[in-house]
Amino acid sequence: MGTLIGVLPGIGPGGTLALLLPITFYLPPSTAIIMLGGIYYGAMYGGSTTSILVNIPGEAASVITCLDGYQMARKGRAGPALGMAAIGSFIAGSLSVVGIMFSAPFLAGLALKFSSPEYVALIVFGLTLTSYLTSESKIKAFMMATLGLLIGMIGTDPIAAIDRFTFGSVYLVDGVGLIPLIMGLFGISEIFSNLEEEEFRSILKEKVKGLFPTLKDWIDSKGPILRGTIIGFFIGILPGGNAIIASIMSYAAEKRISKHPEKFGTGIIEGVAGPESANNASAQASFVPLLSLGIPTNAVMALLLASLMIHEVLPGPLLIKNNPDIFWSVIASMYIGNIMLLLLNLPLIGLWIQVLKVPYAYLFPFIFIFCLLGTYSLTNSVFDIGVMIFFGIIGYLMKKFVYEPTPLILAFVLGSMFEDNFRRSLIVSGGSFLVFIERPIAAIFIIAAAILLLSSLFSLLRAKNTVSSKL
Amino acid sequence: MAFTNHKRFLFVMLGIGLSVWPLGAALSADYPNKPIECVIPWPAGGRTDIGSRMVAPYLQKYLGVPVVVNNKVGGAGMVGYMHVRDAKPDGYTISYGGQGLLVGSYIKPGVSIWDYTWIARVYWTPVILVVNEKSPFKNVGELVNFAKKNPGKLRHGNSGTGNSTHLAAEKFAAQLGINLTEVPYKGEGPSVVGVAAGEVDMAFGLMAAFRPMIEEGKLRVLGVADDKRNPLYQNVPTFREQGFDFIDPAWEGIHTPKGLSKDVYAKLSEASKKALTDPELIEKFAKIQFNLSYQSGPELTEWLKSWDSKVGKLISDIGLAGKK
Repeated sequence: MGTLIGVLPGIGPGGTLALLLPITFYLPPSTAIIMLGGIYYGAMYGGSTTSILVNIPGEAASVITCLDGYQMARKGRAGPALGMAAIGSFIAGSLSVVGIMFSAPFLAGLALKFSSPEYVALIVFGLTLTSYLTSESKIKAFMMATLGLLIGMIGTDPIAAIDRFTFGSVYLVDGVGLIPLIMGLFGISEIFSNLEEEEFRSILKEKVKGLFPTLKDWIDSKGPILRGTIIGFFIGILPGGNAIIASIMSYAAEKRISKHPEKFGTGIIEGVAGPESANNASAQASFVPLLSLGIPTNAVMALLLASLMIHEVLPGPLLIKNNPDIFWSVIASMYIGNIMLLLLNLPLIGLWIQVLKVPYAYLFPFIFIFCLLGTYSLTNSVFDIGVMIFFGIIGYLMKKFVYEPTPLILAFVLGSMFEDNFRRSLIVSGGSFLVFIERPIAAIFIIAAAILLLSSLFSLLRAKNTVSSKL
Repeated sequence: MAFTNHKRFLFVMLGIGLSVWPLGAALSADYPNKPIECVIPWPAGGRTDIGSRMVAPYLQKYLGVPVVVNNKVGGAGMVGYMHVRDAKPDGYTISYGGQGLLVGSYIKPGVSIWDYTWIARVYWTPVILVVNEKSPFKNVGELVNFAKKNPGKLRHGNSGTGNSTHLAAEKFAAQLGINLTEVPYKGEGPSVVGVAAGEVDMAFGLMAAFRPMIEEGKLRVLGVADDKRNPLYQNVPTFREQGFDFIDPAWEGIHTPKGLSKDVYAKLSEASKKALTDPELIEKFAKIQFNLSYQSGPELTEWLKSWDSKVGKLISDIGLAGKK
């Protein structure tokens, strides 16, 4: 069920859970939360499928999988890409469950160590990784990031509650939605640009080569999966964390440490394995703050919290004591869910590959309808569909002029988080900027970001030197 | 001549009345005969959403037709507010909420609580004041004394500028003549973490929000803003006991577009009363630390009259009032 939802572009886990929430009232609480949880991580698996097949993320966190996954599909390697996404997610998911089981109470404490300055430092670190996200011009990437920041500023100011750039429209008061933005920039623009091409064309440019990952794929993916899991798990347990940040960080990290960074974006397995693992690890780890602190980290967790509360189950430190059945059935459901999803997904790969052979002329009306449905289901708002189409046109123009949308999305997500946390940090510190280096966790991230920037500066200088010495 | 004219006029009026009357009566007499839409201007999973989804099955039980919760999200609630205000007043569009609407009507004018008919109060739950476990303050008096000597030094966290948690703190500060620094968070979850992590010194909010962190031992409750102790947490002293006459609630009600026919109003009121006094539902609300407390539409409307002007004055005093 969850996989199906994840596969449908736009109909993300949030929308589905909102639709299914009323049904769960009639189920016993542990069944209800297992069902909702299953849909959630099912969607996290399934989200990568459309990213790989048609370059349209099935849910927000799969944006990054488009970069290499779709390129792999075009090279006829959709099978290994899908397989590795599923296997990577499985491994990451399983490791996270073990992590949650043994360290949930301790992790909850860690979450409280993260205050606004720590988030600011983490975001600064994340933003310095942006430059690794693009295979084209760095200047264009920064232009896109700036545009993302500007779009992120639309709506109510997080501190003073004053409207910005809303032009008096009530629909813009809450800002531009992430899903309409992503669906527009990726989904709709993809459809537009495909319409230009000849009628009976399929996505596949080359012959399908193998359905399952080869031995070389395995060796290449081992590191990314493990690192992705750790990154995802860490981001997931933070109350302000977010699966999309986890997957982006994982991708950037892989590119940074890779021996052949130039190949990222051309369809290599590391670019799929890492982010997909991070995505799933983060999805499962985000149960930690929910169950142990009663704090939802994202919209999906808020829905799960709602369903728990409606069933009179109170999440919090006493959950394990008062409702051990709930806690352990959630853990058990994660184990079983992971195995089920792997078993479901691997045989489906063959089927998905067939989708690629369908001429685009038949495929795109369906994709278009799913994008519309998904966006509408989120807020029941026609305005959001307009937003999606608008960004579809922008995205189409961006494609024409070779601007990549990923930095825009990252800046959009991180920008508003940054502003909120940055301003709050300064209110709390009384205006002192030292707050970002006085606190140990924050300092570590700031220093890491500085090292990253300096090291790329040095390598740039060195490259210049070698060029000049050659001359 | 004049007499016959008069008579004819009466006749015509009576004719029109007779021809229209059965129609209206027929429409409202068999109310409700189709599903009722309960519009929530907030996303699924929020406090209002949870409450409405808990109440809906009980309304359904007493109305005999499905009551479907529909989240009309956007514009800080405005999209949903306008949808309900402009809906046909036939009793098939109802809404659940009120506090956000009232506060919002001053900060971003556009709708007012007087654009609606109030059917019943659902809950009235006082806010509580919490501090971090490491805080030196053991009671409200100590906190107030410190604040008086150190203006602006204490930081209060809230779930967003202009939210009820922010207004509670401003009201408290204004009433006691103290000066606090506002630290807004994005939503309730982060604000709870903020005070539990010690980033801010104090926070007003609901027991429902702070409970997990109180259990964890990260937060200490200083008082509840009511005139009597809350039956759900008897051990928490009131502000009044500690010498501060401070009362501030979170509340929500069931409301509809204006202009319901008498019949529909009566049926809806009756069903709401039965639903909201159902012991099963009271128990469910108590479990999540809310005091379900039914009040009839006219009583609620009466209370709202004075409450409305107080909230309006507070919002304009702290400079948050939006332009019309």
